[in-house]
Amino acid sequence: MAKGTVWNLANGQRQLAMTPRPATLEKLAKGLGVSLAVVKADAAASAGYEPDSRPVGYGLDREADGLDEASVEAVRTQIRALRRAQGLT
Amino acid sequence: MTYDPWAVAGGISSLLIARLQLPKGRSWWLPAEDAIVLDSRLDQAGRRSALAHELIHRERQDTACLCDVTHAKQESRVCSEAARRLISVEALADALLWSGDDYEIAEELWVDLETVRTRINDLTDPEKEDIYQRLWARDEGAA
Repeated sequence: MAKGTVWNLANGQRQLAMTPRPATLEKLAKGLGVSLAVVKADAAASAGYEPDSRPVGYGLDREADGLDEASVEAVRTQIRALRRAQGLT
Repeated sequence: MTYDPWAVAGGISSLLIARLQLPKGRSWWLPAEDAIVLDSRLDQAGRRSALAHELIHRERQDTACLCDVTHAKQESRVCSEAARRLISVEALADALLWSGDDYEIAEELWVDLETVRTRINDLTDPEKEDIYQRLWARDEGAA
């Protein structure tokens, strides 16, 4: 991928009208050394989509069965506490 | 060789596995926290099935989908892959040799009911033929 493309995508010099192609996202993730999920989330945000922080789950419908943000955040809080307790960064 | 999701998870040092009472669903994969949360009310087979499912989401770097179609496709692929890893055709054939009941087969194979049903629904033609041959051989042996 051209350095100019990476620079434009990474620095947001122009407002993107749509998310980049999947192949571009993959190359960008490889070039930046981050996971594809991170690049996808940032690409979505740059195109005006709210980053989706809902959990992916077994037995969860797409709308997460009406799962509210407070419930998800409560689980996240417990997870963060467990990570700290176990010395995981 | 039997797929062991606990062994796979144990080999990923950054991954946190937690058992909490979830407000919805059997298990969650939280990409931002690199954590898999299993509902504390699941039994042993349920935990094993759910962990395999979430490990595959992690491998694929899945995130929650904005669209019904992509969500259904994502879940279908993950369920199929989890069932395939957890239940070999040999193990399924052995279980079918003594029971035709999905609940009993699930218990025998140490997975949840949905995983057994997914595996059976997703059997390929060669796999079906393999199982028929084994069942036929059993009936011939019993005659």
